Amino acid sequence: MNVSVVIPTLNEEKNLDILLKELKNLKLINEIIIIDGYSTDKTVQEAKKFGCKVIFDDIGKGSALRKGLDAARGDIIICMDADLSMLSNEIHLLVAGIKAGYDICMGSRFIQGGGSDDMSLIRKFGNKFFVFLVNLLWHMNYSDLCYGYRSLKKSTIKKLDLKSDGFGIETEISIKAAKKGLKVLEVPSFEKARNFGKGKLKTFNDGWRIFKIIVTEFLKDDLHG
Amino acid sequence: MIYMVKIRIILPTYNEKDNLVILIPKLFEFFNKNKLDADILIIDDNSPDKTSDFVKEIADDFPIKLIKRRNKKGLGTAYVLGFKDSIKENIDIIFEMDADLSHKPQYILDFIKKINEGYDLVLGERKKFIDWGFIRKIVSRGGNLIGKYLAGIKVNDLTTGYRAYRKEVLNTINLDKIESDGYAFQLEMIYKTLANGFKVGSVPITFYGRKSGKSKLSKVDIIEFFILALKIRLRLVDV
Repeated sequence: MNVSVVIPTLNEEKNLDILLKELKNLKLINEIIIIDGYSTDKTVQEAKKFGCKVIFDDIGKGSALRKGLDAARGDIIICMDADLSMLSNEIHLLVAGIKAGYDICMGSRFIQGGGSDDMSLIRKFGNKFFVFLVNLLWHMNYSDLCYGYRSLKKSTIKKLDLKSDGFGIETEISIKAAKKGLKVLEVPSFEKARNFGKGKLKTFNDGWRIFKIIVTEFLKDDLHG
Repeated sequence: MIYMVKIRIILPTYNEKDNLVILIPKLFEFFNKNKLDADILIIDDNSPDKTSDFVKEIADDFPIKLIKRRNKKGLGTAYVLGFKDSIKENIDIIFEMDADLSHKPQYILDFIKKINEGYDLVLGERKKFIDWGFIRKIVSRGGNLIGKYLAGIKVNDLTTGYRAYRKEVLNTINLDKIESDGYAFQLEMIYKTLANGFKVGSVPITFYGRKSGKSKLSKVDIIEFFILALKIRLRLVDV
């Protein structure tokens, strides 16, 4: 099975250089797609140096990821961040999850073997609350929600029919996977602190966005019976 | 050229697909990081969760060998089959390991070190249990203690399933005469290793309780274990 990796970027030249070297060394990946938000540094040059396909989107992470997922040609598509917070070795677990017959395989920081160096108490609490809410509303057993290290089987992308433009995209995937009865597996993942540069997540704004997605998806359920 | 010691991990499986998704990449990450010449042998008893199909799929990415058996035949015979195959392939150090993530790969170097110190069979002695209830711990510790005194073998963790054999041990023991299964199988292997004049050592490990799937050992296993311990004491077991 062919493997594509989809990475949204905005001014990540230093991280990207390290990350792309690591990904090449895995000898597992057939295609890397960078979705760049019009970086003002050398992000795009770095990407092209490594032979990545580059497309542009500056609406938000969700919109970028959706474009990347549409463009990817692999049988297995990995979503990952450019900031080196995700260990590239763990791609093997995400690939294995799809090879085991799952539609989506999600990295989780909260099962045995997982962890995080990069979560403030408030983010941890927020994530826990959203996990609880989603599990309650859609009868799932998720242990993590707002974390973007995931793999999808190509055929699930159409089924998900994703709409989010911002950081809520992960939550939308988790909820829709539950609603559509997709086969989901969680695997342990360790999140490091970002390496170079600045993070783009704004705890309260993006927390509110995630909450709105949960409520909207729940109301849609009700309307349709 | 320096001779690299060949290592193999044998994993008997029955419905362990979800755990293998995690364990196989983790093991090979460990092998690569530590520059070990190692492979994995999976012996699957035709798991309904299609473990064997998954193994075939992932064998594209990693050196894994699969032996598929038609039905559920138990742990003891799976390991014996794995041992014979490993002898044929001239593997130097053969590991038993559970596929359910209770045994962490990080200890593998401790086992190898101990073997290099001159031990022939090295046991992962469970010192700490994560996610195990009080009762299970007591049953495990107590059972081992009783077994130890019944059999008269000075080994603390007789039933541990994380262990490493030097190939000479498996070459010497008559594998066709191994009779028991489950806990008793683990005890029988220790007894026969000692009775053939080999040295048994141990390294401390932390045991991680099951994350998914159900434990497959039952009361019958515990009784079989005590009966074997008694038979060993009464010298009723051929070596």
